Amino acid sequence: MPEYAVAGAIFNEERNRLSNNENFFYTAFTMNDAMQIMRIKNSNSPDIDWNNEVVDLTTDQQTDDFYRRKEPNFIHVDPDDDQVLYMSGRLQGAGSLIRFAKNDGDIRWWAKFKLLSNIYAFAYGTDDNLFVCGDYQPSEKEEVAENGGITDSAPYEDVEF
Amino acid sequence: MILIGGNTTSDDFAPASNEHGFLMAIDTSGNYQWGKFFYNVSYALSDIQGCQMSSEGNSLTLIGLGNSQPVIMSI
Repeated sequence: MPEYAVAGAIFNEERNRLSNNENFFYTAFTMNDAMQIMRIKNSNSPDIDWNNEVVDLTTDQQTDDFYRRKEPNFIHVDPDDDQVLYMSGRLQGAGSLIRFAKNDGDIRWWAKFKLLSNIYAFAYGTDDNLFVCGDYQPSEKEEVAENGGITDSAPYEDVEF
Repeated sequence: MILIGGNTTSDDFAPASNEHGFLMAIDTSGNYQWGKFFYNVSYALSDIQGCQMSSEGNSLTLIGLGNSQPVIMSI
């Protein structure tokens, strides 16, 4: 069986106005070394409507290397465009925010915050701003190398890579 | 109310000390309102990692792990 990890990304859209008001789940998780982002019909036959796989650009590093860590923590709606979703969390070892289209999963942009190790919370402001919060662990890469694996400090204890 | 999901190994709250997913609610004053554990047996749910209200607020959607596989629940 593949090795799965979930990190919290889930959203249920009760009625999609561009798809005959169908009901969908949007979710993401990791399966082995790849992240799967998908839309699933919320029906008696919960078929996967579309699926994107996010893979590592290189496999030169160990699978638990800082650079290969990925955690889909949240999926949330753009308050100004109901056909767009954000996914916030971690990609390529850095706090990341992805903006993608609901109906086909096309990624419109991906923001990688190089001085943020992960995103743990988000909030929408009243002025069109989206705020994200996270942490930065500048010594992490060295710690991993020294210890020969994943450190036991947060946030890694709940996720396997 | 504020809804919180997670993982418990308490044999006071859940039936045994192995992993069980749980969901609880507190009000905005911090008072405990209700809590529920999920069995980790036949329809296993060992952890809840995320919960979010649906788009129109009619249900709560959960994502967690059961038998080491992703599980989605709508309640």
